[in-house]
Amino acid sequence: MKYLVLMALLLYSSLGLGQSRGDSILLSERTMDRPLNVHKGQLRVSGGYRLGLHTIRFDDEGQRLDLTDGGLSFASNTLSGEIKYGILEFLQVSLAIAYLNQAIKKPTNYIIASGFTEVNSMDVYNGLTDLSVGLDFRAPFKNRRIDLLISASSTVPTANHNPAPPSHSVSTVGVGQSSATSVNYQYNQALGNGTPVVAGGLTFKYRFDNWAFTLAGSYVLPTSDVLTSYYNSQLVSSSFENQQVFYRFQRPEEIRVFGEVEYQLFPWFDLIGEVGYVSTSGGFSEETGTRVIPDPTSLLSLGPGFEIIITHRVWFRQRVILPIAGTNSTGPTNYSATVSYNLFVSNR
Amino acid sequence: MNRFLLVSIVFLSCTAQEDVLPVPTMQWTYYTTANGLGSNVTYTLFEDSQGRIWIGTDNGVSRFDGNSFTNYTTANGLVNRYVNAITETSAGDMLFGTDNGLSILRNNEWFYVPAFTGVPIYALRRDVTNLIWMGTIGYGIVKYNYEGGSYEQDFDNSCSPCNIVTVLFEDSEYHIWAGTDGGVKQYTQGNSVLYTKSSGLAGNEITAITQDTWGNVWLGASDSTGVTRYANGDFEVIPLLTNDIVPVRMKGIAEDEFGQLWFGYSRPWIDQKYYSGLSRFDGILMRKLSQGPPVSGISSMLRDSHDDIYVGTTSTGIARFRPIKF
Repeated sequence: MKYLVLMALLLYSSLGLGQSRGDSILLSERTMDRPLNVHKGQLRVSGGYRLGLHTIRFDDEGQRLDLTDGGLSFASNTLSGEIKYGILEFLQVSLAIAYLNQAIKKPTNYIIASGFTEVNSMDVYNGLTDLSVGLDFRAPFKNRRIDLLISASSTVPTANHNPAPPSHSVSTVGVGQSSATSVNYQYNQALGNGTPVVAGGLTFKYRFDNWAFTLAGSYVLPTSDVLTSYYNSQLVSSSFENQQVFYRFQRPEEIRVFGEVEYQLFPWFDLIGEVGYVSTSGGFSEETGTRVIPDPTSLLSLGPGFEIIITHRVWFRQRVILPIAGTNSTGPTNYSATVSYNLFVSNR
Repeated sequence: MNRFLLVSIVFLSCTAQEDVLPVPTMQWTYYTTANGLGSNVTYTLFEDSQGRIWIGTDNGVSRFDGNSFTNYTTANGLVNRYVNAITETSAGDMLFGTDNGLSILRNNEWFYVPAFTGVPIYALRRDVTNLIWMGTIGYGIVKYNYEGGSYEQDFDNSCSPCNIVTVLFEDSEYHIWAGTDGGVKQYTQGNSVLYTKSSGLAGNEITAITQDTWGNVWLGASDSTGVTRYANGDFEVIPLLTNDIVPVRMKGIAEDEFGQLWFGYSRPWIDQKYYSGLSRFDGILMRKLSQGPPVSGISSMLRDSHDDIYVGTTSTGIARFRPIKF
């Protein structure tokens, strides 16, 4: 038994889990004081959940459409995981991945001819996204009020970029003396990009005593187009047959701008207000020689949040993001919660 | 609440709504005599090996190069003004089936075949062996060896309506399908089999035939409210869901680049005028454009090499639309 205790203590100390200089750093940092990257030897593991309620859509003229009117609102659930590690005091690497589940409904149609037919259609996204690998360099300013981070990241195409076969169904039920047919189209969409998608960005933070302001911008660019596919289906004698059709696809480029204001109300409680803007443009799909370029999209959103330092190693962050304006996109109201655990895997 | 009870309430509370395919979202372009087309009464459409669209009309034939029309009439040498069918030989000669035989356009010179004078030719098809198949009104099928000049008539003595042949099609297995007023004939290496309503067809007057990317052969009729899908030796009737009790006259079937099938037909109304209907089949469900296509009297349909779909009409020239995936 004593050997087990001894081994545990050795393991504990080798992982730097005991009180160390790292712990003293974490103990001394409020949320707004933290550098934009993790410290050398620091490992931060974060897990989060985001509920997106897509109840509005912005059309191509920016008009706000209520998706609940037509029963077209939908929810998305995202589980995310992220690991950050400080290679040097000014250099960190990160890995991130997410699991997404959402079903986007299309308008239900009713056909009244030779009976009654209800036609439902939805696109289902369910699975892991591509793995993202990032490298961040923090400018070595001596003035601790100023922070500047240069970021570069790329996705690794770990997720399948070809969709699974659709899961259509047809059912017939008697209604009185007639019958009603329900036709349900379910297209299972892929979540992978099929090619590395690179991003570069800059984050700037300025701190006052209890206030901090952050401004970040990044540009996201696919490295190439990919051969992907969709399915055509036919119903023959009550059974579905699927036919895979291949086409070339390139996801749009993205510009992301992010701003954040923090107020450190208590040493353990940080109030956050953030604003985000995402726009996409370009990209295409090409099946038979004709390139179809999707409409550009944009979305402006903002919302409050907070972070609680539960212990110096465990932090809890919660945010609510509300859609404000946009074009050609749904405007989700996002509720997200993230828990981070920090440790130093090597003593400095 | 039971979903189908809810559906029943919706059913009872709404007026007859057939479907809601949004017609305006598809781009339609119209060509009439105002644009240079030879006539607004068109019968057939054909794309030649150079990508030019030929339009058979009641006043000769028009050729459309994408920008302008070139018109040929009897004054140029056509044997008859009513051009019902068009095909192209392997040498690039254009053949035109008219109400009074066969006209040939070769190197900008017009010829005709005296042997077919007086024969109304309503369908033309060049098969894989370069044999020209001609569908006639009352003379059955004529297989014409264009190179050698010989021909062979296939007249059906046991089925008079079978000698009215308005559409010919060759499938991917080199069967020739001949749509007649008495059913459809499938030719395999010279032997034919006749299929009729009793075989499972939606109608006997077969006036449109095509094959989709699944390999199904589609048969449209002019005496039916449905369309027939032939696959693996079986016929299956798929209703057009037009709410029409009276049969429609289907004159065109085209598959778009997304694998959707478009069915063009005319629908008689109380005043006996013919209006057009356009339905789309995605492999699972037939859906009709709620307001009808913005053309009237569909006489033919063609998907060209640019994946546009041309629609010929009997009163308003031709129209072209770019299909979208619904």
